[in-house]
Amino acid sequence: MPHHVPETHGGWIGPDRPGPADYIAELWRYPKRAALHRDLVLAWVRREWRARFLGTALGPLWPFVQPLALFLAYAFVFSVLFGLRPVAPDASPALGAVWIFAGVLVWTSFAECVSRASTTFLEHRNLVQRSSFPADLLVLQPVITSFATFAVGAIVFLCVAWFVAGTHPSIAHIGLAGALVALHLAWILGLGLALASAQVVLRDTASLVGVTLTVWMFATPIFWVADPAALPALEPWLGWIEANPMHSLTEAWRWVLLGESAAPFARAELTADLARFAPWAFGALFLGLASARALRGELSDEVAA
Amino acid sequence: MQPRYALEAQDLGKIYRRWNGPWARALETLTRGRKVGHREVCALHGVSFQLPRGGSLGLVGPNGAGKSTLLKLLSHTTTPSVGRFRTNGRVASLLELGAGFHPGFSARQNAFQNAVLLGLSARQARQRVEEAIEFAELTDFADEPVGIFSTGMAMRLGFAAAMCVEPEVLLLDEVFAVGDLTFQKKCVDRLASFRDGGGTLVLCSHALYDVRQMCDEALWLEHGRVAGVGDACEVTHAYAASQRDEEGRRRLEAAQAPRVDWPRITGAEVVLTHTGLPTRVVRTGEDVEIQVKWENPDPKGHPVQLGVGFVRGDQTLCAAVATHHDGVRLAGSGGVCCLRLPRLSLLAGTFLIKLWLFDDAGVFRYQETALDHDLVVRGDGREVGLVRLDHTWRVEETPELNPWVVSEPVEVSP
Repeated sequence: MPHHVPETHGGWIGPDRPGPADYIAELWRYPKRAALHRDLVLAWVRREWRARFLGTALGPLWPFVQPLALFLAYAFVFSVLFGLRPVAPDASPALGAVWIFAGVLVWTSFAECVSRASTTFLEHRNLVQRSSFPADLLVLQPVITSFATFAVGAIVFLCVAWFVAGTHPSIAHIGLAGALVALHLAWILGLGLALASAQVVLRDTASLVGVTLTVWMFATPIFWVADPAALPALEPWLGWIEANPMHSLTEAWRWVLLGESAAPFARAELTADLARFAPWAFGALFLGLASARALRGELSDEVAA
Repeated sequence: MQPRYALEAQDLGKIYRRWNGPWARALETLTRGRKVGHREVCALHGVSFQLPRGGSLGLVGPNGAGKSTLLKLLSHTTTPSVGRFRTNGRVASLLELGAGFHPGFSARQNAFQNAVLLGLSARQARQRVEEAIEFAELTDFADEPVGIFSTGMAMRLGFAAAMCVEPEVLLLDEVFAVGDLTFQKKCVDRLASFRDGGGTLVLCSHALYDVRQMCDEALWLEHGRVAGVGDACEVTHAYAASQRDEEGRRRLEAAQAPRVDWPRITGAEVVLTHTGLPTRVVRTGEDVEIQVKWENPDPKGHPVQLGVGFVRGDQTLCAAVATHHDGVRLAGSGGVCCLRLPRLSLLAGTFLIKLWLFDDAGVFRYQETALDHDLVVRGDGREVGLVRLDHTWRVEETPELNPWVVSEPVEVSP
């Protein structure tokens, strides 16, 4: 019986003072916990999904309205008002639009996940304060919800992109998609855990996350292409842009979703993007797991204050 | 080998840290504790106890004594700052009914969520949720959103959803009987069957009667420390007595600044009639006098009346008599007023004797005080209750009730 209600047999429970070994052990204890309580996590995800669309007529269509509106607004501002061609002059406009939209999909799901995750513990303070359950699993809910939304969005996107621009994923890149999914999940889970923990201790975190996300979005090649041929002013910043983990992540997804059609726009090969992104993903994951572990003993007291 | 104890705590303590603001906290973290930015609040200190399997423990104490903190520790909701504890068996806690219910979801969905949260697998939860909904008598409302439920319905659902986990150790904070009287009975029966099945119960309640009924043992907390532990009746009585003394002390302090020229009580004693000597211990059925010495500087301006009340350890006012009820007057500027109690009918217990000096109408209280010691009454029979009723028995050999009515019907003339 997978009972997470503490079922100890003679094990003493004293003050929670985790040592370095406990932090490292979280790397396998957390997934183990998640597997043990998968029913709980799935129930949360279902509940969140239902709660979000409770009383709405469009229901699950709403997650696609946001990236679409973003895309249309930016397309209007950049292409129509400013007359900018954010993509290389020789590329077809349809391909450029598809390239940009792939990035928007990744970004909106990332931004939604991070901003929702950062308030997770406080949002569920009722539960955290009054019942005993592995509270750090709560963060899985925004992570899974946002990633599932992204996955569904990506499938819809693949059909539309094939229809509009004739793009299709290539076998060579699909092989690495598994690694990309794993790194993507590690990245958002890690950031989510770290920010959720930080928010409990310092309530400025959520506001800070909002501001950072806005700045970060413009600093990342989402609505523009990091191509000095199209935007010559980019030249001195190229090093910074490539160091940005979100650049590597969006570009990797563009490779996976668009296949060979991504070649004219991409700054690096898919493998290079993944190699650059991996340390960020693992670093974030470890930071997140460690901060959640450090907070565990005091979580229910901290959310009360 | 199974451990003997379902719950065991050793020197358990909880210290909450109150930060002097986010900057102070950041500074303390950055200086690695050299610059202290918090003060510590000790919510619980040095609590040790053992509770055997199938046992039951009541937690009593005034607000803020640490009862809820202790329950939170035992339910693993928070971790101890000092000391340690262990639990043996599946622990479920009901710290608040329906914590985490979503108003937009149906009763069934919420109950399922709750069951999964309390540790059931999805399959188990689906089975038990139906039982829970039936238990809560909400079958007709199972698919209605909880938001439209009445408070009672939501609480019924909360109780049923929590109990469907079938724990081995159950921790309850004030909530164990909810809804209307019929449903409360159901809750109590459910808890009784839980206990009969060998379940271990920890109950925190201000209702001392409930603690006495439901628990074998009690733990009395005061300012985060153990003030008493042991048999539930003894501990709850001791706690009630201390509460009563505290209340008496507060009232006396408030009333202690009377005007100098007002009437007052200057002394009082309990005297055994047959010896004429003051006493603190009497037996049920003995003849007793309460002698009260009083002064009245202004008998014309402030005529007085005396009231005497008997308050048992659990704060039940057992009886109270007053001179103005019996048409007696306390004339003059002072003296001793004796209340004679032939064949004292109070049964065993410890009683506080309260004294009131009223105005002539028995409304305004010049003074409210009590004897400086309790009166201990020892019983000699096996009677239970508050008082011994004057009584005789008669046994008739007839199958009918009220035989004299049946044999001699009363004729009513129009």
